[in-house]
Formats: sequence, C-alpha cells, structure tokens
Amino acid sequence: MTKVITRIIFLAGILMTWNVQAQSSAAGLSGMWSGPPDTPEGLFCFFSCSDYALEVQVGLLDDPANDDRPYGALTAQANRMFSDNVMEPKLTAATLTTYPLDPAEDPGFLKCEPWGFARQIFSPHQNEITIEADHIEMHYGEWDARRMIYTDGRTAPENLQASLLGYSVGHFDGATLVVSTTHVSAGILSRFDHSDQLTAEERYSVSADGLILTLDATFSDPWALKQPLTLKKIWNWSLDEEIYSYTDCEIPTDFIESRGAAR
Amino acid sequence: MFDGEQLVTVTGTVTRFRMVNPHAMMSIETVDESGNTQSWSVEFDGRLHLTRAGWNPSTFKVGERLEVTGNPARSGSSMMFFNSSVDADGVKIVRPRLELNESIEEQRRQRRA
Repeated sequence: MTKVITRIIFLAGILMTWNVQAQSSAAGLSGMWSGPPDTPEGLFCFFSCSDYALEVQVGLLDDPANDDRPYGALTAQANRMFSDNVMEPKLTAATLTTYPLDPAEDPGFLKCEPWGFARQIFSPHQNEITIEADHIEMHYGEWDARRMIYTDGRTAPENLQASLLGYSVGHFDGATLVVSTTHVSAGILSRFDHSDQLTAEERYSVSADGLILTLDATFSDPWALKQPLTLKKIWNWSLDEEIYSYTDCEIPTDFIESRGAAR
Repeated sequence: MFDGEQLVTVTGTVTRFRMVNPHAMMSIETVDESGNTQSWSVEFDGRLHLTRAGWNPSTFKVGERLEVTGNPARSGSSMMFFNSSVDADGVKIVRPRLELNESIEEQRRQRRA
C-alpha cells in the first residue's frame, strides 16, 4: 500500500512538474510580438534571415576593414553570400528558372492577394500569440491573418485540401514550441516558388529574459528544394502594439500603368 | 525593379498620396524648363510599417510641393522607391527603414569609439 501511495505521489509530482513547465512555456510565448529589434541582427531578420547569413554579417560588421562601409552594403553582401552558397545550391532546376522572383511582381502588391504560409510566418511586425487548451492562434499584423495550430494531438483530416496557410499541429519540446505544417497551397517562399508538397517544421523559442522570440523554420519540398532549407526570424516583445484590420488593400493602378508604359 | 545602389531626385507637386495596404503610393507632377509635365509614381513601404513609424494619410498632402529622393526604376521609367523628401519649409521626412539603418550606424560608431 505504501509503495502504491509513493508511486502515486511520484507520478503526481511528475505530472505537476510537466504542467508547470508547459504553463511557463506557454506563458513566455503568449502575447504580442513585433519588431524588428533595434540591433544589426534584428534589422537583418526583419523578414527572414539564416544562421549562415547572420554569421557572415556579424563577421563583416566586426571587421575593422569594413568600418567605413555602410550597414546596408554589408547586409547586401551577407545576403548575396547566403544566396550563392546556401540557397541556390538547394534549389531544384524547376525553381531556378524563376529565382530570384522580382519583388515588383509580387501578387500581394499587384493584385492584393494575401500571402501564403511560407511568407506569412516571416511577415514583419506583429505576431500576437494566444494559447488555448487545445490550440494556439497566431494573429499577424500583415494581412490581419489568423492561423490555427492544433495542440491536442490531432492529425490532419483525410482528403484535406491544400489551403493558403495549410494545416498545423504543434507541441512543446521543453520551452520550445514545435509546429509541423502540411497541406499548403503552392506559393512563394523567400524569393522562389514552392509547390503544394511543401512541409515545414517551425521551432519558436523565447530568450531567457523573455524579450526576444526566435523562429527557426525548416522547409522541405521535393519540387522546389533538393535539400531542406532553414530560415530564421526574430521578434521583440511588444505589449503595447495592436493589430488593425486589413480592409483597404488597393491595387496600385498608377504604378502598374507606369510600369506598363515603360515596357 | 528598383536600383538600390542609385538615387534620383525630382521636385514637383503631390497629386495623390494613398496610404493603403499593401504599400503606400504617391503621384507627383514635375514641370521641366520647357513647361513639359511629367508624372512620377513613388512607392513606399507597407502601410503597417509606416503607421508604426507615426505616418498617417496626411503625412503628404495633395498640392504640396516636395523634393523627393528615391531609388529609380531599373527600366528607366518615371518611378522610384521613396528614400526621403523635403517640403517647401525644409522639413525632411526619411523612410523609416533608413532611420533604423541610421540607428544601427550610430551603434557601430559608438562601438568603434
């Protein structure tokens, strides 16, 4: 009897510890994030960046030989090196035909088409995270987009059709939120096209001081990528920000006409 | 689309400023020495970004005279991406992203000192 009681107390202790850990993970992640942080790294990761490019950029910034070169030029060099040495070698022949996509051809800009999953998760500015018992919601300032991440152990329904933001499930690995996403419509990732075979694992972690949120997202897509590609993003804890509705998207007709006349 | 390494400056009158999603846009009409008019299309960052920096739909007013500097279109057409402007009173407005860059440059200068 004593052994049984001891085991129950032991198990209860484990469960309570797990629950406290889950609550503290959730509490640290929950709330309003925005940015970028006012640092070279934060600004560099305004949209997305990578560990490789960050390392290059820090090296360039630390080199006294670059003291007279502007930050923008060093950033451009780090991005070029990432593109040449990391990104392009991973892209398939199909993707390379249109890489890098012209930002001026962005359907979001020219046609007011909302961004898909692979761009939305790196969108600048607000990401308000709300944690409920069975799901997590990420509400982005850009496009006022809302994304549901199920955390109750469910899997994607059979015959689920691909959609703009896909289907996401998540769990906590210690203090890190791990999200797996599938069923994403074909769209744009960084500056190349991806297919509806795209899958992603996102890992969200909060700094020890609770002020910086980091995302490391690893993408796989047999049509677009020869090897998985990992990109990064950084947000600032920004309690006083709010998200406004995105109702007044306007197609830039003057811009399109000027562009047309120039062709 | 735009050449980030080059700058072009034009002076003219604002005929339209739309602080909308996804990007704010401005039209500005210039007049050359022969009296010929030309319309320039100026693209800005996203409304969300500008709003967070304190901009609003009245930041530029129709009829206002401005000197606008930006990155020109690679095509050579009369389009640019906004970098900064100076109005008739000498008030300068800078692209918020460039202000962030300047903040980083200040951090670099302080680190070197």
